Amino acid sequence: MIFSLLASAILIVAFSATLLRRFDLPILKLALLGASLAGLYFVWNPEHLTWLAHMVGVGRGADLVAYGSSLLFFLTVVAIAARRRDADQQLTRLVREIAVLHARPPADRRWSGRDTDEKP
Amino acid sequence: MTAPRAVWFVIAAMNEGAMIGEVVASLTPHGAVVVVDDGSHDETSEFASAAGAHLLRHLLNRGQGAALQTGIQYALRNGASHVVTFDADGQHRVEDALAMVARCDEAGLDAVLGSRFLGATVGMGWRKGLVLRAAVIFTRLTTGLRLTDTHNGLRVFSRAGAQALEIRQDRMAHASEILAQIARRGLRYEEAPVTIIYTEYSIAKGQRLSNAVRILEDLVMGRLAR
Repeated sequence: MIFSLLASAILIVAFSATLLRRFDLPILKLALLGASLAGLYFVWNPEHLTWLAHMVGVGRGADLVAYGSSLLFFLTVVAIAARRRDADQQLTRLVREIAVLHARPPADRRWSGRDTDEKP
Repeated sequence: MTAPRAVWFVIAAMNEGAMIGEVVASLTPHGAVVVVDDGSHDETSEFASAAGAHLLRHLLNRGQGAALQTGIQYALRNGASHVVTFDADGQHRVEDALAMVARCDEAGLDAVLGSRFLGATVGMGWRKGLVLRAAVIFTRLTTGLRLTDTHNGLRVFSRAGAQALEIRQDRMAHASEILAQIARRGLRYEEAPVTIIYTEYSIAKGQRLSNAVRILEDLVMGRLAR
């Protein structure tokens, strides 16, 4: 009873936090929302979890939870990697813009790049 | 085309102080040189500038692909008719680059790609040769391009060819990305024989073979994120 109350409180917090946050990977948001709702239900009806585990060919309910968690973890890693990639590309654009703004042409005009080989 | 020819050499340089001055000086008689200093901790910038290059500095190291894209963009804004990517460590020969520019005009191409396997290599290790050939097969499978050398830093682009490029792979996977874009955008290209001179310096500065794994990872992530 105490465990179930505690777990429910945590899951409700997790659900609300997930609901409010913006995710780069919408499927991850759905998965997390689904997982916390399912968790909330199964905490109070563990025998249903065992039944579900048997349905999908997994021995125990706890094993099903472990597999589900691994899947969520994998999705999270992919989402973080994608986000990092975006941030990297934005940083590159910023660094590039600054580099071009502060470009230092050569002092000698012979090397300025216009009509170097022949005159038109 | 009646527009004056303006050849721009684009060099991405990261801690290349030892060679960069010499390399820039060998190119300035033939066109404008832009060196993108990719966050070096040595005197790459000073030497490049003193040798007559346009100097652009990445405040933070962003990788060779990012630096090339910066340099290409700058060259195009300054009216380049041809963009030549050239390595900073002295492994390319200027005469190869000039022959490729001439070929680009003569055949009306968008890109001329240097190939060390059509040309010559001086001092290349056998393991490097093996990985490079694996990359050739990889490229044939993923882009359909039939090339003999897919990871050669010496390339010539016409203005139109350079404008068609948009390098988003910041690190070393840009070599594959450039080829993918050449294939996707249907650019007219050709390979040209070049000689690569492997010196102790260029080998020490060059890619470690283990980086191939990192490059693959970048390519896979790049495709996933699209």
